[in-house]
Amino acid sequence: MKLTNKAKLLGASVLGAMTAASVAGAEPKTNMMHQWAQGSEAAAIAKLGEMYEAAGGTWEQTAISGHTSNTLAKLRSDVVAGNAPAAVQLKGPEIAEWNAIGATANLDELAAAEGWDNVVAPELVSVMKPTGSWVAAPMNIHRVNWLYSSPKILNELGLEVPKTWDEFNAACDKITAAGYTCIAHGAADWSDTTTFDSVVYGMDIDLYRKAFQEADVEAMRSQGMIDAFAQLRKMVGYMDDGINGRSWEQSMTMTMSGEAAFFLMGDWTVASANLAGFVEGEDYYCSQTPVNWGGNGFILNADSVVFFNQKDEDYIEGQKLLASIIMSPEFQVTFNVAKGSIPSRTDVDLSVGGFTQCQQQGLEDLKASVEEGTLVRSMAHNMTVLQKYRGAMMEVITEFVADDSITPEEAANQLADAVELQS
Amino acid sequence: MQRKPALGSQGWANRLAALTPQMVLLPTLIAALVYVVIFSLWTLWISVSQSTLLPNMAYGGFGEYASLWKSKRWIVSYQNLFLFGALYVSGSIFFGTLLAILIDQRVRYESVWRTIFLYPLAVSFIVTGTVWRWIFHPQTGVELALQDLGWIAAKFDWITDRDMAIYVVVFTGIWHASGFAMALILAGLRSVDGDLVKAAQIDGASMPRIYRKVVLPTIWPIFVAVTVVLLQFAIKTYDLVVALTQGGPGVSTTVPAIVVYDLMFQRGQIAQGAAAAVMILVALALVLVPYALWSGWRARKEARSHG
Repeated sequence: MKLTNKAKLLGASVLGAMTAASVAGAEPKTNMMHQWAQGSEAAAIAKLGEMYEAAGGTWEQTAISGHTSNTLAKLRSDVVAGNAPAAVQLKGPEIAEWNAIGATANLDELAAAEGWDNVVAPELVSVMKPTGSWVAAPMNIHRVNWLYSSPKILNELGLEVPKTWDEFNAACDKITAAGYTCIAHGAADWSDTTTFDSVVYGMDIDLYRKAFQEADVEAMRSQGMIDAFAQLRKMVGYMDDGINGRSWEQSMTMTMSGEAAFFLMGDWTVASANLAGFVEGEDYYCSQTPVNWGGNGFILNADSVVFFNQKDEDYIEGQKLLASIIMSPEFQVTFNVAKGSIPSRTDVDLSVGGFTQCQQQGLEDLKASVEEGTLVRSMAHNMTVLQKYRGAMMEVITEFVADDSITPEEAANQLADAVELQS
Repeated sequence: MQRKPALGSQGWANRLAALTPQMVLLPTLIAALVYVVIFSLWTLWISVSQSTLLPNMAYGGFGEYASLWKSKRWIVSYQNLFLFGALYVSGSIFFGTLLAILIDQRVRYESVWRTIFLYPLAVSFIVTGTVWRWIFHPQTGVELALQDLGWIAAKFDWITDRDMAIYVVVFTGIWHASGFAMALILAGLRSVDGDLVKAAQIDGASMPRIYRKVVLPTIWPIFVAVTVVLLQFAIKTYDLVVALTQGGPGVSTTVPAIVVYDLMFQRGQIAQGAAAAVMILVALALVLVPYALWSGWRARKEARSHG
């Protein structure tokens, strides 16, 4: 396997070198700004740097640790100063915002030459091409709608992994009666919203698209949204009273060590769980969160690199080389094994290279959901609406989780009001 | 009567000597002018501009203020600013004074006590918040300890209670700042003339009465200094809340600094973030302007009564 990967790497290098040679005299250079300063993610980025240098480029990086907002603050000041970085890790609607002010570069030529349109998942293509041209390259696909269950509790009570929300509620009633916590959860605006993403999606996929992808306020006031909030209220009842101040890693451990039955969270859990020594199939099952409409569902989140307009010919060449390497199957494998996600190209074979069963399952479900037309982007993870709408919605959702005096009807109206206020 | 300066080189030298302090202060004055006044005006203009993701200087009206005041999170955070500020400053001063008076009784191992009480200030807000989150959290802290001791019905879940969580923040803040208040007030107590206390003792006043009527009133400028320092801690509180409660449950412990940061750097709403920052300035003015008026009035009154 090692040899094949190396051979592929060589292939990428040659391809990269050919692209680079297309403009005579230019030496590909890049400076990538990203937020992966520590741990396995930093290692994965270091790998990108090595591949870049092997392909003949000069690699520089600016790692800004901490929250995405730190990266945005630096980017903003650089752009205002007329000194935009060549490549920046950004996601979702932020790509469109920077594209709208005319700051992004155009990668159409390279994308056409390498056939990106045919291999990238369709919901993702629209994010990378905000106005019809490729301005960004996707690094991975995270699945947000994973349900992790505790085999110990399910077996003890003779329960199946629930497929619909009704089954989920019935299972929770039994689990609670047996003295276990049903849902492990750590309350925070993003995690409450991650759970709600799965609820709305699983109950009514059209509602999800209208309310969470298009920010349609009428959809937010609809009966469907009220029902979804009622389901969320029910689920808060299935949680224990320690949800505030608990991290998602602690919630994960609760489920995987058999204290709680279920945990709803994205696939980055897989990387952390395996690192903590939990074993797939023994300590946890992974499956999609319940859907009432049958079939395969996939809520997508993706990291990507956006390319900004450059004047220096060397950096323009460098962008093409970097984009080409990011889109290469070799990089996608290395990066995603480390991150617990799956490649952004659907044509990569995950049975080799160290992907776990859950990751392989993720790719199959992704393909199936593309087939069935059920693929959506995650609102909770900043893949759909502008940050100002997302922030306003997250406030309402997290308040609803924290305050049980808010009724589902009130919450649905507050959600719509909060969004209307920002527009 | 002012003496007329003699003409000639000696006069110039004198004038130069008189100007030296002003010239030394000038750079600081300019820096303060730029950083405080100019940047405040700049923020004010941004808040009524059309800025979104990037600053845009075109005039956009007061719409951002209207949106801000319709947001539940902002209203909660603004209330929290006043509640937290008032309780945090008064609580820290109260406990700081108490500790300072106790230590002032010439206790044994005084420096050890002083170090212990001053120590919290050396701990960063992030560490303070994280540790107290563990202590307050029902599943890791006091409640668990009591239950492990056998008191099964023990309940101590303020941090997960919407109405009580802000008091958890206040408590932690007071824990952090009391030592600081103590150190300054203790230094003040030590500077009080011992004869004053002896005179009061001879007059037959009890110790509590001496402190209340004689010692503490003489060191009031120290209390003003402590209040001003703590007040600016209170207004810029950010990391303590982020580490302790993340602004939760829900939005119940959010403070304005968190909202400003989110709006400006996370949501690409620079104008609304600037509007929120201006409102923080207004909050500060609400406290400081009446104080300035009061102290001005007091100074005039004293001047009259002594004159």
